Amino acid sequence: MPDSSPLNTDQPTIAVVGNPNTGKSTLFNNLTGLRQKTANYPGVTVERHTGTIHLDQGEVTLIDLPGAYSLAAHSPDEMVSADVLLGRIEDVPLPSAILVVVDSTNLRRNLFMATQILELNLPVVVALNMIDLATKRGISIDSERLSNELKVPVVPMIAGDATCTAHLKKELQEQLNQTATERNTLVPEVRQQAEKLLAAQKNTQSTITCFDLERAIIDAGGAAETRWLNSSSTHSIATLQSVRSELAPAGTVAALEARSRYAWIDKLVRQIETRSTSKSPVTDLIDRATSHSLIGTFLFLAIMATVFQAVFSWAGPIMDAIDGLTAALATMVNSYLPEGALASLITDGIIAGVGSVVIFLPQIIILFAFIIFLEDSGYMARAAFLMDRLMRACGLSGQSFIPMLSSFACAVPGIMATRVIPNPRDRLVTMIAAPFMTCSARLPVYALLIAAFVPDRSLLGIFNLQGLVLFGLYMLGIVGGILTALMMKRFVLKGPTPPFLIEIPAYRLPNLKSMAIKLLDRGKIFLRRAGTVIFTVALVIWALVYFPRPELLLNDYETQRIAIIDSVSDPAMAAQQIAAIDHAESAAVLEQSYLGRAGRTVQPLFAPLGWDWKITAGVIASFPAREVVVAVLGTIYAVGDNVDETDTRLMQRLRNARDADGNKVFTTGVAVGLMIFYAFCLQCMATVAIMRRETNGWKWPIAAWCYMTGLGYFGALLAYQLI
Amino acid sequence: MDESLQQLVALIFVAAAVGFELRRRWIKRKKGKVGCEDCGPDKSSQNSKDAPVRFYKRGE
Repeated sequence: MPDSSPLNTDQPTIAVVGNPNTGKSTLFNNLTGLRQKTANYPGVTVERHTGTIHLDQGEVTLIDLPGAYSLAAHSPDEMVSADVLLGRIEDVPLPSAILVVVDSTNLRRNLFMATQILELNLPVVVALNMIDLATKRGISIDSERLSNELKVPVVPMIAGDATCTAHLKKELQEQLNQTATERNTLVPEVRQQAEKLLAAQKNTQSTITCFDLERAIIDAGGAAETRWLNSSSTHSIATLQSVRSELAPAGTVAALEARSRYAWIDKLVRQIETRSTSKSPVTDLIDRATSHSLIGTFLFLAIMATVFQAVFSWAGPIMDAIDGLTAALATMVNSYLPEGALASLITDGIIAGVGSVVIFLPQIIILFAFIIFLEDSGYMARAAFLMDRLMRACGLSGQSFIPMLSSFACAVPGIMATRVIPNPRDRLVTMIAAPFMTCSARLPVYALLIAAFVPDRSLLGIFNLQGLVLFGLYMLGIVGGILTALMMKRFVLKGPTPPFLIEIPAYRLPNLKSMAIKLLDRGKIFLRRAGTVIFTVALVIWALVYFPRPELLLNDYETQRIAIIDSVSDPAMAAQQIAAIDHAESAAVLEQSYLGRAGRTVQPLFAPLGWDWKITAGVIASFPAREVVVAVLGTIYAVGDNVDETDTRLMQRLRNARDADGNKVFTTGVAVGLMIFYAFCLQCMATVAIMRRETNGWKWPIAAWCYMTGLGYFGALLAYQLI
Repeated sequence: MDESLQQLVALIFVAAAVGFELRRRWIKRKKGKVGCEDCGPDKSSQNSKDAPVRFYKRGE
């Protein structure tokens, strides 16, 4: 779990900065490997991603700052970046050096922030990243001349290349031994005004620096302006506005800064960069196809369908191995422990409960491997562009796509990602629609139900039916979210459709090491949940299922068993009759358990959906976290054991489950209804909590909960009644 | 170990696990962390720094 422990201030610190899509995080992952730590910056919800690298002089802390296009701080992450670079964060020392990661294919734009950083007067190393991609595109950069002009070391980089990494480390090492260097500003008129204001505030207690004042003048409405205004009662917005009018009578100071910097950058780029006129026909062709309204949509659907096919077909052998392992573990425990509560606790509670969830780890890993690959390759930005048209039809824009995309992992970061949406109404609509997206917690539930009730057969010789159903469920979530957004924008939160501008990064082959680190992180998150929440819930459910022990009932069944042994001479017949008594005993004990009683009390509410008390108990228990239902059903069916003994896997037990009259518990209508219920219902307390925090009240989370749960209920009702 | 003693040990184990989990959550709440296990505000499940796109308001 992330912590907020301070950094080791004894060792030097290097801040890693750069525009988004420059391969900054991949470079960070390559430099630090697994020696990484995630925490929060004090007082804010911005991640602090740090790692350790070993240089000649010893261990050095690397801080990966959020990607930004300039030092103009408006959002919390931009403010944190600026504060780190100025040494203003309480437990983060002023960086000893700055590593600026620059995209070689987009030098002009990337140099904008680089020139701002150079003016901080700290030792800087520029990593000219993705130089291989630039060469492929016919871009040639004279890095030596660039280094001479910028007066800092410039290292051409290829992600994952050991020689480049070694060169970069050497330059970083050298810069750590350098002292601060005074560099000229590219916007001298702003510097002069800032110095004047600074001189005027000499008598105040303000800690504002010249850099702060420059940013306060340039960034109207930004963090630096607020800081300056709050630093002394004598500071007023009128002073700033007067300075701004003097500097840019007909425009903004931000535009003045952009003109000044780009004039210098353009001149520099003309000297150091040559571009061959030939464009990459393949990339252009791919882009034309992926961004085409019809072909692009078809490709998107085809890619997603393939992903879900792979989730089912590739995970099978590993899931079998995990299943075998849990079964072997249960057998081992049973052989060492005498029959009774302890053996049942370990095998039926812990192993069956936690094991029934852990078995889905391979599917989670495969799904995220694809998602990370698509993100890192640059495809997802194209998908966002493509989705803009669809979003626009609902009154939203592609801005809402990224939060929704994040929600495929978990709705919590998805809801937090809505902070990038400037319009509060659109933000709220996206926040309500985001939990409809299929999060990783829904995957084990879907996978269990699909494996249990959808036949494993191919369709048209290409598609696997199970994969298609999973794809359909993901689409159901998307459609549910989009229709909800549409209705909200039409009837509740009316407003104009916001504009959308998106940066399409270059296609690139994802770095395997970086992908592996992210995947490992996903796996750890899933297993940690299984080891904490799921583990505890499985134990509680076991206790509720195991207790109270009805001694009279148990004695009665025991008497029946003894009577059969005494009266039936044929051993096969006796075994058959005893097995029938065992099953009846299990069912009776289960019905009399605390969970059975509670389930039967609530069950009438869900009877119209065709659910028995066991399904009801599983669904009710999964309201705090939806994947809990798998563990609950795993424990109920393990303790109950009223199905075929050869059904080791939960999905087989569900498939063969019968009620007291011998009818199938999970009919097609019930199974489809359950899938629809889980596609729509808001069974996640964390999502409700984060929604309350982001909307600053209970109104919207309660409304969202009632709406989504109601939708799930009526969806399941319709499915059961119609099928 | 007879069945009654086994039941007692099992119940103590369950109670301890629940207590441990509640304590863990209480500590998390005390630190002001809202959200799920690992993807709350303190750590997004997808690395926010890897976000492939950025948004601008018109006119920026």
